[in-house]
Amino acid sequence: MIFNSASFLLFFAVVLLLYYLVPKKLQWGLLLAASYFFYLYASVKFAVFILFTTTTAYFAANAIGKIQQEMKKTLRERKEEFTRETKKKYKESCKKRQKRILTGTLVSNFGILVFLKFYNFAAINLTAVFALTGSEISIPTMRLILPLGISFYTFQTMGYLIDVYWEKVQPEKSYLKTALFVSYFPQIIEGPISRFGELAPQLFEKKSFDYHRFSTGIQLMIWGFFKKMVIADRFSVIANTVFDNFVDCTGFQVALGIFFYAIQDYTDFSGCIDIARGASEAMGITLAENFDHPYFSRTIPEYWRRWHATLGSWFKDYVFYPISISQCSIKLGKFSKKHFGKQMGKNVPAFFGLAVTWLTTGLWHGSDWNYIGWGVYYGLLIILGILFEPLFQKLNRLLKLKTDHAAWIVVQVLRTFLLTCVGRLIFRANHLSDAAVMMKKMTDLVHLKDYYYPDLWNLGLDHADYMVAFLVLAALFIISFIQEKYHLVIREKLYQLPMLLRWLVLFVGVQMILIFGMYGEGFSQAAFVYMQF
Amino acid sequence: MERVIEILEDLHPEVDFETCTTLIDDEILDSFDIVTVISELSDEFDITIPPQEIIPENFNSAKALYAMVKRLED
Repeated sequence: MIFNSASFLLFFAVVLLLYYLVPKKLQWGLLLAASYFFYLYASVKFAVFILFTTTTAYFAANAIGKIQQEMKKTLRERKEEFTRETKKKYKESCKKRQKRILTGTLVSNFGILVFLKFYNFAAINLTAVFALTGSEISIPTMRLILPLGISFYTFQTMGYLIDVYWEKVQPEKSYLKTALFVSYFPQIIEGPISRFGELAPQLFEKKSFDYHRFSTGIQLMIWGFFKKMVIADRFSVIANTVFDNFVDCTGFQVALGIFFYAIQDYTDFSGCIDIARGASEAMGITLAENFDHPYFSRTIPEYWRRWHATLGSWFKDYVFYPISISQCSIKLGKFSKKHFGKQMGKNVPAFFGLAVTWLTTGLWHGSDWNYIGWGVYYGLLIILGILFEPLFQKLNRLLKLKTDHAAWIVVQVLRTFLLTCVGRLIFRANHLSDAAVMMKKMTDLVHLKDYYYPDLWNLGLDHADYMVAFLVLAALFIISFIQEKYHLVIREKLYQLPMLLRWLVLFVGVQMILIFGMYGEGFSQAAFVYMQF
Repeated sequence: MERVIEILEDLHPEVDFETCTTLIDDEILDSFDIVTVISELSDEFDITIPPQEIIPENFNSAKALYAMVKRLED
């Protein structure tokens, strides 16, 4: 049941109605039933995976919580008896017990994810390596299908468990409430990846109908559907044609395909998140922001704070920091300071953390060399950016550049967008080698004349569709620009309009989706891009 | 306390760390800075700063950082 389907609209309408009709103490139970209906509707047999994650997380979190409680009680009761040394030893032994439970649960849950995602990739590549060495060993591949949302709910749930271990949140005592946190239906498909401390209390509290939140939530959903069905699915036609037939494309067409994919990827993913956030808001639940107009970013690190922010924040808290400040990194920093100077000593722990973080971020997206290449690309860009920062600043001073001048900001925004387009090329290409060929096509100056002529009419869209594409892109840019520059929440402005006018605007929005949306006969309804992860 | 301020000033000489109490809230320190500060503090005070200590309350001011160091030293 994907969001852009009639079955989802019917399902959500029924859930929303029941949510405000049932007694308030049953609301979270209704959300759990709805979430499991939503999940089982996709596939009954895959429920075993989400149940495994829920069950292991529930028992592990409570076991860790119990040890923490016991420890605090013992330390309090035996305060006089404990010396500094025995207290330290007791704390260490408690920590060790907690760590064993945490490690076991993390390994089993991430182990399933890694196995399902990477077994075939490892099998194919190992067989290829064996063949290179003359061996005839062949590792058989398996028909493995990723359960819906496994990358998202595994990360969200393991984040919760680590937070319990770090004593940032209390373990949830109710199994069913844990199950709701893991499976909450609006975010199970593509996130956002929520934190227990922020989402769980909202899921379990009693909610009264709030017309304001209901209204703005529905508006956000309509905007999400518009982004997905009018923009993303239209732009995907050219992107798919180019990426799947790049051999026959000119350099210009390849560049156009990458640009269309950049728009498709943003509107598809952020559209899905808008639908999830809007649906939640209509039920009085605020989900984390995942996008903040990323294409207006001036630097790559800024872009990653504004694109898929909940994944970036997850990796920062649970991978980057723990790795960068681990004893191993600190020692590496000391070694570098001794041998390569003070500055390198400072940089190396963070570089080490960044390298691991970006490699795992690439792998999170899938098991192919292009995802690994994509991770390496961004890791390198960020590390090189930090290394060359002093040089860039020197150059800016030398050239007397006004770095806060609008023209320079535009240059930085365009530069960042182009760099992300290269990242998208690596990411979307069917193979890493395809990305190299496509890059060559765009930059082959020897055959410039052959490559750079605009032929737009054999890429899948007709004149009318191009016109619509241009208009909706212009509308998206203007709306995003206004939001970026004036920090306007357009839904709030709409809410301030007289009711009749407000509903007229919404009616027009729905009409636009019905008229210009890509659906119906002859059009294959496109799944959301990030569903596959 | 002076040493904590020295470490911070080395990263951002333009900031008045004696008075600033919004180092994280105003995004003066980014994640790269935080790792550098932790690495320097660990080295300087011979302490281990675990990841759960990376919260705005501990990093928003030099004073808060110093209080964290003192707590971890005990």
